[in-house]
Amino acid sequence: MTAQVKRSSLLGGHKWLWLSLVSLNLVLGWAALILPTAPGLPSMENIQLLQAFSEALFPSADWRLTPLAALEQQILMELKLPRAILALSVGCSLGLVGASLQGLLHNPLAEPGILGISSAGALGATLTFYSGLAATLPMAVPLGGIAGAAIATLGLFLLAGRQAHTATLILAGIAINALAGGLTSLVLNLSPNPFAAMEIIFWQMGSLADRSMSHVWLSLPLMLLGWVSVGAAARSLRALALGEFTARSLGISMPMVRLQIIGGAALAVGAAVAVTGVIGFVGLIVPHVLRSVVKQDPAVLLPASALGGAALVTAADLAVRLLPLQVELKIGVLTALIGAPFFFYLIARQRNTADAN
Amino acid sequence: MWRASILLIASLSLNAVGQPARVASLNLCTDQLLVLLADPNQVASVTWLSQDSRTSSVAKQSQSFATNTGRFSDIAHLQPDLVLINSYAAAATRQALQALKLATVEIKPAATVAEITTNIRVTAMALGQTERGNAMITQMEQDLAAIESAQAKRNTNAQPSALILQPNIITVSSGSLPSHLLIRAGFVPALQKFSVGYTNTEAIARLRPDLLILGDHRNKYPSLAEQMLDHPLVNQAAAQIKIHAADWICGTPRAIAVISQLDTARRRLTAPSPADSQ
Amino acid sequence: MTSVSNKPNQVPLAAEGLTLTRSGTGIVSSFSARFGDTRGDQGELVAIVGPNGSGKTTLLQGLAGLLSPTAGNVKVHGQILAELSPLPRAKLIAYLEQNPRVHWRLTVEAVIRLGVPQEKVWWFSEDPLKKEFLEHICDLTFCQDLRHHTIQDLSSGEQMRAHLARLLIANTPVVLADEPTANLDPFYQLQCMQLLSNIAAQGKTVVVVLHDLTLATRFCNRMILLNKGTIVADGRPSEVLSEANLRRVFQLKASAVAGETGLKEIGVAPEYPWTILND
Repeated sequence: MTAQVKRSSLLGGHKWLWLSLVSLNLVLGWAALILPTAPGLPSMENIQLLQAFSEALFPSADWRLTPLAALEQQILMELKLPRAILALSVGCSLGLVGASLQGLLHNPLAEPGILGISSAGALGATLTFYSGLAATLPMAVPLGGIAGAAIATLGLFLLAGRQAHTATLILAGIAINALAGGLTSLVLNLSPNPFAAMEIIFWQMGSLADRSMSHVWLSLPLMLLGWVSVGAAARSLRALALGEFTARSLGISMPMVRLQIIGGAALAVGAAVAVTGVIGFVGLIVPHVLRSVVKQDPAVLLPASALGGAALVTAADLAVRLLPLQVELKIGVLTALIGAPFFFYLIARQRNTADAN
Repeated sequence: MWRASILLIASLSLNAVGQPARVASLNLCTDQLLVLLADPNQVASVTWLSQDSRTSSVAKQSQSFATNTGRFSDIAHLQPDLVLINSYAAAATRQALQALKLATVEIKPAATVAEITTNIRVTAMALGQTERGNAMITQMEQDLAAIESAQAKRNTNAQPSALILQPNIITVSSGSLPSHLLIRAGFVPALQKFSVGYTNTEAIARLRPDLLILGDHRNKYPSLAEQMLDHPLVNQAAAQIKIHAADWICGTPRAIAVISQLDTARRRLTAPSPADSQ
Repeated sequence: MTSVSNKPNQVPLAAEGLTLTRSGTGIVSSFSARFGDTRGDQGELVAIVGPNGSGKTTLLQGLAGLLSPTAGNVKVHGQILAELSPLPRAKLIAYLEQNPRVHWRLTVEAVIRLGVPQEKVWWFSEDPLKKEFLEHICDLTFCQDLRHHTIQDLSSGEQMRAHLARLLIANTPVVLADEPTANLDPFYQLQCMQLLSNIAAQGKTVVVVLHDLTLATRFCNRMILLNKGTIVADGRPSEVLSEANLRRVFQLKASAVAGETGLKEIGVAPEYPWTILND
């Protein structure tokens, strides 16, 4: 048998994967618009969805909405749509950044939540939000999140070094998480607002509830910048599978790769965390599940994890919305329940391979 | 059911005119009754919350009094003649009061206008200020009667729905004082029309209340809880009024003022438009 | 960058007073040598030998442009290496590190494809690798049967063949390899050296760091003996591995005989009786 050698682009050769991931996201996105945001509330009908979008797209056309349809449209455009957009884009950011950090650090345990990047982003966001800075400058919250995430990522590299050993990396993550978590609590406790102290759970466990389009406009452009930056490092990440020296000999500029990934991770995760709080383990679960599907290619893993992350967060948010509980569960609780076992499994597997060597 | 146990009245050490000389209160609601009914020199201690205008309707009058944090240890050294406590006071507080054989009056939080008048009557009696208490009750009844007769004259059966909304999109449960005052003013609490385990923004929007009742205080420093009230789906949903939280956290004569305020809002909502009027 | 590689009158690879410093062992001082020939049609297979810690690996990294020199320079076809940006450099020099590792469970073919220096970083650009050339390299390195295997599942010899294919797929005029025969069985050692020798015969300049003096003598037409970061000898293996050099640098009593493919009468030099050599 003569092996087929295809001249293909970076994305080529995984047609079915892209098709299934994109359709999965379409279905989940559609469900996020149709289904109610709490159990016991009515779903929207497809015809209403269509009508509402047509009305929104062509406001000049002579649409006459009944008051009920107008309410449905308002709920769709001001509540469900921003929630769906944020679920997809935040999931995309977390999956993408997880996959890129794993490629850069050659470690399947690298994840923005575990490494403390997310909680440092949350610290930056809480500082700008509770200080009242955001009241005059709404952009300050995502920018604060990005600054926090950037400092944590740089700190991680200084603390754990370039070729980080798993234990060093995880310990550095624990240290950053502890510091950022403690300081976030401090910020909330020092706030003169009596409600602030109770809001630690939002920042640590994340939620997409009651977000509005203003949150989308604040965070999505910055996340997009982050995606472009991380995506530009794709081929470099592939070469990095051979180690830093060989990658350099193949024409990869390491300072450039680090800038692209650290900068991109800070932008995407910082902006995401600033509007939804920390949603953990997404960047761990998704690349882990998809790695063998993309034949372990660190470059193809990036878009795959982005789409997978979007699907996971959207699905988790739907579950949180529809679980019949007294109070809406924080989405990070759900991702932690799924993700922590993965984490244990990966640690156990790493230990086994370490023992074998 | 109202239950005020006046304990150990016999052992009260009373002054010349038959009043307890030094009275301490360990709860925001009893604070307010104490400040309203007692002579200023009778007040030994009130909670620090009673000095905060956000939570207390007697903040101004309370400024000069010694404060406590609601714990017995704060007032033990004052050796009060009488201690006013809430019926939900901590077990430790009760035990300490009993151990020292201090005269105690326990007041149940009022959830209706009738319970408010009962609480006033009991507190006034314990303070030896029965006349002041009766005058206060009479005034309340007169004000309420005036509102109700005006309502009767308007002769409208329209019962608009109203929703009390607090930060974090928490609404007030039925059976509470605010809910009772809403009904007294002729509103239907909107939540009764719709059953969800908890409220969220979509549920609020779907309730489509005629009136949204918000607090009048906004902290200078932001919180997510208060930010949720700014969500366009909530904020633009209905007519809004703001009620000063201190007026209905505790049952005081201010409750009548709240009914009056709600009545005004209802009149505006149900007023027939000029075209409909004969 | 083809303009650079085709200049006929320039030496493919030349180091002038190259000095490399590094924390820890292995410091190279004032290394000067020229590799390859000026006509550009005939290759050269050069072995760099020397005892542990003599600076072989550091020197090779310096020649590859992966360490910036503290003094002196490396020129590739007359162009100073340090002034080239990473990508043009990668198109001139291919480098194989010591004990190469692959961090993810990639197939051999995926690893080989990584060897092509990528000009474009954008997502939808076509793969520049020609099918025929990939087939050719796979044939050359006996990788045809391995292509769809995961590299970690293969033996050391098979893995090294994949890495050599990765090294050669870049089709650079200069090829540097750091101890490619380490950890290999004798058969695969010979196979590996034969391969590099064939590459050199095709006109490439191949510089290999070797531990095994016998292999070096057998396959290389030139040998550079390094000790404590400086050149002890540079020339034909039989000249370089003189009795005096072996005794001085390797603490060995042995001799290489011209025309033969190895060392004769290897033994520990009598003045170093504590050294045990059992190779």
